[in-house]
Amino acid sequence: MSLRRLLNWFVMSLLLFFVLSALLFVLVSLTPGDAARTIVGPNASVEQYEQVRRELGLDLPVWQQYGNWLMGLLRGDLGDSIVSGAPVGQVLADRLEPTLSLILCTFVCASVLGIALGVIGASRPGIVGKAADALSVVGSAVPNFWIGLVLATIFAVHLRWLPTSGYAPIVDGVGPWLARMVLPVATLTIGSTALLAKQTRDAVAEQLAQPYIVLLRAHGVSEHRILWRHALRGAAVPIVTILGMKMVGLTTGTVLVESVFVIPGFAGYAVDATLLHDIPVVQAITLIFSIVIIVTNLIVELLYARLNVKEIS
Amino acid sequence: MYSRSLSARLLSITAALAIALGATSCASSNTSDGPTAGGRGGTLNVALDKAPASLDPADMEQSTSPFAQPAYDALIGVDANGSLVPALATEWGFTDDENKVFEITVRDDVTFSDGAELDADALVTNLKHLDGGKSNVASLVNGGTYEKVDDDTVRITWTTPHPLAPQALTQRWVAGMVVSPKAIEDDPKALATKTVGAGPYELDADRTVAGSTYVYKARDDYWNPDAQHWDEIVITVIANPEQRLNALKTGEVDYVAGDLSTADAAGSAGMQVLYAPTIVYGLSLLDRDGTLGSPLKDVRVRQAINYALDRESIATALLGDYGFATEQTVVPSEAGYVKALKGTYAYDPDKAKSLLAEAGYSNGFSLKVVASTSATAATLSQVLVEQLAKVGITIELDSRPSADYFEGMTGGTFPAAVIGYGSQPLPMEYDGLFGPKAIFNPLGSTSEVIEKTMGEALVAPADEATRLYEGVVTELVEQAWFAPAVFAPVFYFASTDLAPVSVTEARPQSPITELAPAA
Repeated sequence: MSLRRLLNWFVMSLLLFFVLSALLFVLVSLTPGDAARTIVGPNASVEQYEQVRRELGLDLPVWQQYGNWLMGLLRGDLGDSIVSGAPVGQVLADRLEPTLSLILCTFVCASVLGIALGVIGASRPGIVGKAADALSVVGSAVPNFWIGLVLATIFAVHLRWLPTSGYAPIVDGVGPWLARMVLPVATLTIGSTALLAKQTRDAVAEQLAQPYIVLLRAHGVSEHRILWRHALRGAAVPIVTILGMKMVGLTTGTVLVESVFVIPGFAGYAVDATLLHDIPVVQAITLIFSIVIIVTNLIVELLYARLNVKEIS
Repeated sequence: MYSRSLSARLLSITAALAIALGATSCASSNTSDGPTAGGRGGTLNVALDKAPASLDPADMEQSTSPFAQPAYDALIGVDANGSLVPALATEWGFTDDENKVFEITVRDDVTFSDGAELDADALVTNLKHLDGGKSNVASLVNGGTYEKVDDDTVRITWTTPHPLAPQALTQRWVAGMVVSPKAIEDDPKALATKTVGAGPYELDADRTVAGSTYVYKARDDYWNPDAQHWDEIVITVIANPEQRLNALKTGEVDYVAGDLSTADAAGSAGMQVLYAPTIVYGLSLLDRDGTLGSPLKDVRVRQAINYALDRESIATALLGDYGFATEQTVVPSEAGYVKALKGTYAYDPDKAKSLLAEAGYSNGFSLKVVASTSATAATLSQVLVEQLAKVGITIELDSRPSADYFEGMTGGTFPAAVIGYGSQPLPMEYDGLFGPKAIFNPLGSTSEVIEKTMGEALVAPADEATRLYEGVVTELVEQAWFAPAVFAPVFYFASTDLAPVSVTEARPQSPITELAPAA
């Protein structure tokens, strides 16, 4: 990937971020109520409400509020939560570990399971392939939050093997952390694995039908080596594409799962902040999501280059 | 005219609480003899539905006060029977005949979690801090001047009567919670995310995730160690009532905010189901003066609406054993409730039609009504639509989420609204619900009888004030300013691992700090 292409790519990403953040600012401003109402309570007097609005700067035009936020961002200041008054950086830092744990654990589990199932499905196209297809359809069709509720009902409420909700920091011990990660990670992994397994199976199966595979077999290369080294490498581009999409999807997909399992991550907090009209927090989360998406796409682009893909979209 | 001060805020706070909790109704409640502590427990796990915007009592909305209770003791306590009892304050009372000058004396053996001492100077600093607070609770003591009488006594002087000041300074309202003066002077902004109170616990900021999990550790230097029932308290925010119940059933938490939809399941699971009927649900007939040109200007129309409601059926169908029908906005235990008014508007659709015909609406009319989409209000709204349709009144229902609902309800554009409002002492309801400047009276309806009677009640001795309050309630019912339907409770569910918890109409929520392990 050339330096010029890389620079163009960054500029486009930055523009995208500014457009997105401005749009979000306007949308949140248009929703009924505001942070001042949250603070004073729904039944406070008009005078109290207006006073708090002025103190928070919510009486300024939206463009001016956005400008103020943007200037702060350029100074490296994410601002303070309108609702709590706490620095946004601190608010989100407290919530980083749970969300990262959820995303990374799910990504690893889904990648390993999805690729393994896909490769096995491609090499044994009978019942295993059909099972991968069926799993793919179910995993894609059923919403994550429903899967989460079912798993919680079975394994937490009835069997009582695992806690229903919450998060334990890893510094408090791997056991408690793992116990609270199992159900949410399983919930996200089911949906993520399904599509990845199907795409992997199709891509690997396509490779197995290529003439070079016949040539390798003629040279006495083992099936195991053909499958896991040559066919899988040939199928890497679509798999990397799906993995990139999954990473992006997980970043936003954790929102509902964090709500279902009451995990104090920042993805779920995005919903709360939006409902509270806490614009600095919403904008900061948008910024983080944007960075994750931009970096993920960059990694995918670099991997494409590494895999000698000539056409980069 | 009675001033708009304490009452409006307190009333609105309770109303907010009602809406926020989506409460339901009920007759008396399940009341026990209070905690029977079984010694000090390890960790008390609590799940509530909503996080506070700020932990600073001056910026806190009352409905989130349980998050402040572990760390901040209040000046005055209120027991399960509603009686005021000493807490951080040992004595209090008005020193004039007009309820404008109030003196309060605090204990001399109390320190805050940062080591600062509680004294008159600390209290004055707190009162001034509350003056600058953002929330409606902060305004409970606004408008006064504060002076130190001696080392432990402060005099508050208002320009208008504040007969309910003692109630405002109890732990039921965060305005009574006292913060370290040192913390206020050093960095008041930091109080949003940390606690520096004179309560039995202190927030463990390192283990707390704002908006999600709040951890409080017992203080070693608390002035009243007998009131420390736990080594630590953890409050988790779980918005979904079923998730809260699941966590309770699996033993992950010991005490949760409940709701009507999960009450039976909690009872079946053997949990303590706590409820007190304090939230009145019904119609507020806002356009009493005909400002918007609606038929509600005619008292016969308002009375017809009341006759058209089958309250008993609504209570039974909507709330079962948890609620009861009402024509009044104050609970039976509150001064001003008139027992004789029960049945004033017994269900009589024929009489409703007759009154409508007398008023010139024999063919009925349409009425725009704004309603909240909260569970109880939404269900009630549908029932109201059906019952009023039977007498020819077509309700054009505008159902909105909470924030939008309040904007609509207070905007002065709807002639009527479905309300859920927490019963309060009548002067508070005057300021918040039916007085000319009340937020729930956006069209400013007035009544000479009510104004005169409330003015007299403000400076009257207690017995006389009660009689005058009854006159006000009678006027409200007879003039049909509202069409109340049911009283609904706020629910809490507790594990049987906790000592029996006590809630009553007079104190519908038990303070978190009173929860104790079972003996």
